[in-house]
Amino acid sequence: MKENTALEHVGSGADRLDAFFTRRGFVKVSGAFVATMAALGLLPETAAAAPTSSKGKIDYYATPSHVLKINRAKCTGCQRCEMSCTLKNDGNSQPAAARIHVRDGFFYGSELGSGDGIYYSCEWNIRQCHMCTTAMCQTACPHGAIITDESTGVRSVDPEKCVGCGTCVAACPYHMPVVNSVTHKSTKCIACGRCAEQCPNGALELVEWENVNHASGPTRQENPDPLISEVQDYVGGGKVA
Amino acid sequence: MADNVSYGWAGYIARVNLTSGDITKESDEEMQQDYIGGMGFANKIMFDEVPAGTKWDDPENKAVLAVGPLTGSGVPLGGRSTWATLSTFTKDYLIVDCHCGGTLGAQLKYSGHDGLIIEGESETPVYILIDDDKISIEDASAFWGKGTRETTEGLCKKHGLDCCVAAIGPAGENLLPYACVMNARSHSAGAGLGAVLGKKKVKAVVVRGTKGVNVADPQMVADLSDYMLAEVLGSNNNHVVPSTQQSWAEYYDKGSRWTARKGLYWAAAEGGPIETGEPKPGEPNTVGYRCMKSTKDLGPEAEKYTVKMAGCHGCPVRCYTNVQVPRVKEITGYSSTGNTCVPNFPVSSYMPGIAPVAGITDEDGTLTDLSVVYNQVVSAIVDDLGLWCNYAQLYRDIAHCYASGIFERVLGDDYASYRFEDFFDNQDPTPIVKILTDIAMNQSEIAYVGHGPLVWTERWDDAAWYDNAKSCLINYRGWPVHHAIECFGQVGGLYNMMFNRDDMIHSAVNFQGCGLPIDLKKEMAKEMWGGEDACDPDKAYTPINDAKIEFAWWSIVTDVLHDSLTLCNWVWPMAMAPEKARDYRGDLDLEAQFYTAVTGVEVTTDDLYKAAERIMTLQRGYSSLGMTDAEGNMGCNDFRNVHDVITEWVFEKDPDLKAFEKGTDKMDRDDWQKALGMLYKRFGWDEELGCPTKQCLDDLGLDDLESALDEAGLLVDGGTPYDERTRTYSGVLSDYCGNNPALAQ
Repeated sequence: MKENTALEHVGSGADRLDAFFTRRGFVKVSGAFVATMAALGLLPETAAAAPTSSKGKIDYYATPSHVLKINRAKCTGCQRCEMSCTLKNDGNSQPAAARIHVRDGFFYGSELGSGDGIYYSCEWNIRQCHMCTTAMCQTACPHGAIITDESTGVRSVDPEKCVGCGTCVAACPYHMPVVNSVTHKSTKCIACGRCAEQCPNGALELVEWENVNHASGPTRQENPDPLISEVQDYVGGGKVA
Repeated sequence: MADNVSYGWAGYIARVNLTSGDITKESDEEMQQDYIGGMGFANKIMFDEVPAGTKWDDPENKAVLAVGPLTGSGVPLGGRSTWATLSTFTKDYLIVDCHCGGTLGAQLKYSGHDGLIIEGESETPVYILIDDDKISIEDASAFWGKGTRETTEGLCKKHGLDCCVAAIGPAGENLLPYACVMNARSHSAGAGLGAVLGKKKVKAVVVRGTKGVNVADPQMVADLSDYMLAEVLGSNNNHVVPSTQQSWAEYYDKGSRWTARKGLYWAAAEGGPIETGEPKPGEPNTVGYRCMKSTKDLGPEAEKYTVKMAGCHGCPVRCYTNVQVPRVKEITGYSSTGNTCVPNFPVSSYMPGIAPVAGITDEDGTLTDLSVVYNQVVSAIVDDLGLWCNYAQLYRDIAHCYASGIFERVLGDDYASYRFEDFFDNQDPTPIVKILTDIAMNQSEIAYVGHGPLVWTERWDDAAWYDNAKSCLINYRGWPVHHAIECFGQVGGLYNMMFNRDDMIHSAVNFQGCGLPIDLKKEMAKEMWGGEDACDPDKAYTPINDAKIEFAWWSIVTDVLHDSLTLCNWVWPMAMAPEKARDYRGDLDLEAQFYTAVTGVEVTTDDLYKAAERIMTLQRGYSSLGMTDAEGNMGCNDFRNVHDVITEWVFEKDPDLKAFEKGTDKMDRDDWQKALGMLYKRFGWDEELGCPTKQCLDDLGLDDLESALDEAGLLVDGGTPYDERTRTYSGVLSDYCGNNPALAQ
């Protein structure tokens, strides 16, 4: 039998967003500087034309150094990634505030009717930060609270500046950031890789940055089973009147 | 803590009164140290609030769900939860624990609650919605009559796909004593809990938790988790050697649940087959491939249907089968099925020994494709009906009632409609749909098989079934073996007597099946339980001795501890490990180290074992208040002659062999009575009666129980003082635990 290696991707649209900004030449301020940096091999080309800060001010250009690559077929739904994430980054175990999401798709996939989840296909999405070249969470933040780490290019939330408004959540094509229901601050992935260390199935891998928009796995079944609640004339597997 | 933060525990228990509609919450701080959480909390609340003599279907009965300090904290295998309520199907309606995994326990904790007390009765169908701090009683009339799958889907549609729904099905609604509560598709809390909720008209508990578990030392929890996954943890049941010969492994054992191997695939995985391969110790990222449960339980034909494994929240040992079997979908309407326990293999494991099922094995005895279909059809149906099996007793009883002609005798005109011959003889799995559905609906004669053997053997005049070894019934109060005499003889036999249902203790059976050679096990037994003679090779048992008693005591207290913390006793305790470099020794101090890291409260293994002993003794004493004697009078402390009565077949089986001869696990009557007395003594209980003594109640600080027993005339003097009967467990394996990060501090 052939081994499972990578997964086909059903496009989410985020990749097209990146192209949109690139074509528009959105970055003007220091284009020449960036081009030089890229020519010297100091920045990947994909980063060169991407705005990375809010309020029109550009403070850094590198794509993040790392990104999580996932294989949802290997995910067994234990959700240790979520607990490990918050234990490391928040000092408590709070899956709903984790920077990686399994719990909300575990039962029914990306949405009811997707044909996914433990009740249907037994597949569900591991939603992870794509470490976008154009970080919409960052550009949308009205408080400039999502900052770029100068050494890694990873964006993180500055809790001092964050007011928990949720604009980043809405702006992210994947709705990855979460406003913590207890601290009322946003959180996002910083590519620390702790989730991957504790994944018992190797479904997560922290890799050097690459475009993972094409590798996240499908978000629904091509021919999903009809919902039980909509077609159900079975109780206990038997047709009942 | 000066900052007033509650670490580990959420600190509160919710109380929902269905009669008055009152919803309140209360602190559990005073119970934390003595009763830990989970089973401890639930039992304490039941003892405090539900008077002895209450019937399971009285409004005064309660259903108490509780979790512990380690639930959802990030500690590996901390996803379980325990309910307590009164038994619906065993003698005298005494307290029982109903355990479940899935995601219910973790979600409850994240909502900011360590427990939920459901009391009173509603007049109309309701569900309880817990959305963090907001708790409400909602109308469930739209869901009444539905299966657990449709109910879950409807409630998730209404309240969010991240909610955990724990629902009853038609079995619970119709007050079938064998009804359970289902969450996460196939995780059941059994022991009749579904009927208790059905009587209260509670269709479901819906929980969404977005809060966190505060952890005192998150780095230590992470470090201990890494250490545990790297070198201590094995596979399902903590089996620590692979089932096939593998280059890295010194030992292998074909019975092991470490079933991954080269050439064995999750063959129906999305994107192409995923090989289980040879996951080795020291590889945290392959732990979840070790247990290939579908083919282990369902035979080689299940490989092609296997999408993946799954399991409970927070557990790296993925023991749950997830298969997609087209024929099962055709019959039941459900594409996705699978389990890890009895509902994964209900037909092939429990029926053929009593009534042969044609076509489920080939000439060599290998399970066939048809066996996958038979098993998974039942799995899909019982999960949806919310029908529990009394640890497989339902399937043994159906096979027996068919094979012995009881069904034909008692079902009258209905008999033909069940098409038993088609199911057993004609390779047609479809008749089981009606059989199980009619049982769940609890309206026709066949349903009495779902009232438990206590009821149906009397109704259908078959008391002899208890004394037939094939029945596997181990106690006349109505429960079957759960790793009994076949597990180290007296050790398994003893712990099967302790509760008011099957025991669900795995501490001993994990050690039995772990795959290490008996000589090594004996060395380990000496370190842990004080004597190599604590364990014997299978079916070569020796008379009772102190080390066996210690092993039995340890099996009981570790199980109770895990059900309270809450950790999974199907894998914990870490008595052995897969890593050769540590001579396969486990690490018995991990529970205490995790407890300390999570809660910030310093405890030792011995402190925790003592707390577990307190919880066990509380259940024992509470049971005696409601237990009836031979004359039917309530209040009885003669456990030896009334409660801990093992079925006769254990002394009568294998008529050509004597007890302690090689080749049998037959028991000896005198040895058994001696063993009971020795175990009672180890717990500080009365050596003749087996009830708690004043001495042990004083030692354990169970003052309220002491008063209650005194008032009922059930308090006895005597009992061995704690210090004279206990031994030290802390650090017994520390010589092998050089990499334990807590020891490095």
